[in-house]
Amino acid sequence: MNKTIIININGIVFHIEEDAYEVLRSYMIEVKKHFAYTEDSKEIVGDIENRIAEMFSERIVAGKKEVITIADVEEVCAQMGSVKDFERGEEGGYTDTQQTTYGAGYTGTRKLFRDMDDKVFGGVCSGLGHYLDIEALWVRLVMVLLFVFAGTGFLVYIILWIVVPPARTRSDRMAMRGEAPNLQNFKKNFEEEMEGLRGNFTMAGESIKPGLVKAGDALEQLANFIAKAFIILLKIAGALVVFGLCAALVGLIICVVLAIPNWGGDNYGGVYGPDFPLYYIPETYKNMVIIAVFFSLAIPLIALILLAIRMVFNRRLAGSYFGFGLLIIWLVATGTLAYYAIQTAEDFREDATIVKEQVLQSAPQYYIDIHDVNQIKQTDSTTHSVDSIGVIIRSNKRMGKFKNFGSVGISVVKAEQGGAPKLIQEFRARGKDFEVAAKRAGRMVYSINQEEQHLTFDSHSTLPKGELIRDQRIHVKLSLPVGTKLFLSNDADRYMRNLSAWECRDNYPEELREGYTEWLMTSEGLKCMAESANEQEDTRDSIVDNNVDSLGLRKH
Amino acid sequence: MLVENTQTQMRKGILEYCILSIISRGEIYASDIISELKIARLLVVEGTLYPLLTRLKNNELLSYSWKESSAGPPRKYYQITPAGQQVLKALDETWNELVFAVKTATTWSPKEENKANHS
Repeated sequence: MNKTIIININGIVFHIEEDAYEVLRSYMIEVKKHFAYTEDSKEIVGDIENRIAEMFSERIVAGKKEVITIADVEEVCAQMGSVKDFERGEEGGYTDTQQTTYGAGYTGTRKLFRDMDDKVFGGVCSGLGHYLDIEALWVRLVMVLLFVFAGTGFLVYIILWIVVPPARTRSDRMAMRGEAPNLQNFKKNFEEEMEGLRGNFTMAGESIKPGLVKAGDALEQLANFIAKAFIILLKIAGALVVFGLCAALVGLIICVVLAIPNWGGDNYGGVYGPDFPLYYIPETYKNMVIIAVFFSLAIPLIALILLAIRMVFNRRLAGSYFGFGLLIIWLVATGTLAYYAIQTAEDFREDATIVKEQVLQSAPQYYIDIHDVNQIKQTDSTTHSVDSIGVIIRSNKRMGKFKNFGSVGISVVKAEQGGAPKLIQEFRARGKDFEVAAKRAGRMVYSINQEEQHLTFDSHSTLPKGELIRDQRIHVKLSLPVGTKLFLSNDADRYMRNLSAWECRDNYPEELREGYTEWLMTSEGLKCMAESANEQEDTRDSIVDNNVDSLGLRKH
Repeated sequence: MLVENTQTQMRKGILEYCILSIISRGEIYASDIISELKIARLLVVEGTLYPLLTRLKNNELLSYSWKESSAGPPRKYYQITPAGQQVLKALDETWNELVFAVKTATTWSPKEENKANHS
């Protein structure tokens, strides 16, 4: 039983067996190739096709023989002559030289296909076997071992199943085995197949050989197997490298897509947070920088992928023009990047500090609290979980009004003799010259709220929308007269710069630790009340040590 | 190489001359031309003939007409043109000259072996 194909040669329809069709097709391709550069090649090929059609129709006998077989095709082709004959004919005519079998020593590259004739699931392993020129059994073994010990075998198999095309046609199958797709090999291939069918019946008796004879071969086969296994492992490793590089490239593309403005609605930096480096780059050349970053990272990746594919699979996917093009783009991209990097660095050259002083309503004691500006809603800081912080921060970015950057540093110092309690805010920023830096510092937003004894500090300074990050910092000095009491909230501890707030808190019993710690401004600086109560005799020195900063400031 | 090249050149001219001669006898189909050439042992496969016929046709030495055939597609029947006739006439003369020249050159060679071979 044979599958037939219906073909049309110069308007005449023929039923032709599939194998015969493959032979005919490859013959016609060779003929066309041969005449491709002659004048009127179309007419010549047309004449030949016409004659073939005529010879076919002479062979068809209605009701008796309606299908063109491989034998018919071979006879017709022989009568028409092979391309080899044409070449000789053009040289002059009939010669008696023996036709050489070309293509026998063809060492062309094999192509990776799935072998549909020898498959367990998708024919991946047998296809790999053909590709690597080893028996499918060994590939299957490696695949199973990979699955059992590394767990990746399954994934690799599925990916290959999807990616690798099945060998559907005879020429695919021949490319898979590394045979040159010419007429001789088609015949050979076909004959082998027929032999194989016949062989199946006779081989059964032959296969039971005495074990001793096989033993010698087995050793040799083992050595071959080890060598091949090593090559396979190398190729697998190479494939994984290629896979990893491709994943990196995809990741990079995703990063760049997400960096497109307006994605996250804040018009700057896409979905990235306030610390993302894009905020260091002025709006005017931001897009250029994104593109330059993309190319300067993507091109080496692409080059590595191509190199790895070439080394592992012996396939050259791109020509040298492509390579040169990439190199030029890469040089331009890195050059652009370097230029903008220098431009940006220039903007960090000078730094300026603006100082604002504010006299507080005097009170015998103050409470320091922190307003966390990263929170949309004022929630109880002790109740929110890690999850809700994530939600809050994300929603804050979406709001996109401000960028919060640089947490505040608070130090407490002793006021001058008879001086009023004061708040000194120092805004600092950098710029390409002092004026720019000072203006930048002036644009920083920071507020301290006083309600009688309660001072609420913002946790961070915020920058207006569109402001670049230029090392902006905020420092607040709280200057208190001697004898003033200070209560620090739990939140405030980590913003205090010259107090060992946590050490003080350790002196409180467990149940009070979440509350306020009590401090007193003395002539020697701020003292932790709990600490001095606990260790009255011998802790004076350590308190002095703890307050080194405020002492130092006093000396100024 | 030189030998092959000479052989090629010689055959090429003769082949075209023969094809023209065969066609000059009357309208003829390509595969009939080939069977005559096969007998003459000049050509063995049909495929070789088509490029030659096309070349002669392009030089307007031949023309063809389509004729219906009982089996298969319509066939191209080749016939010689007046220009072809003239060329053929010239070639006939050249051939006779060549035969004479070759005969003279090979038989009258001063070398003894050649005389022995060809007499």
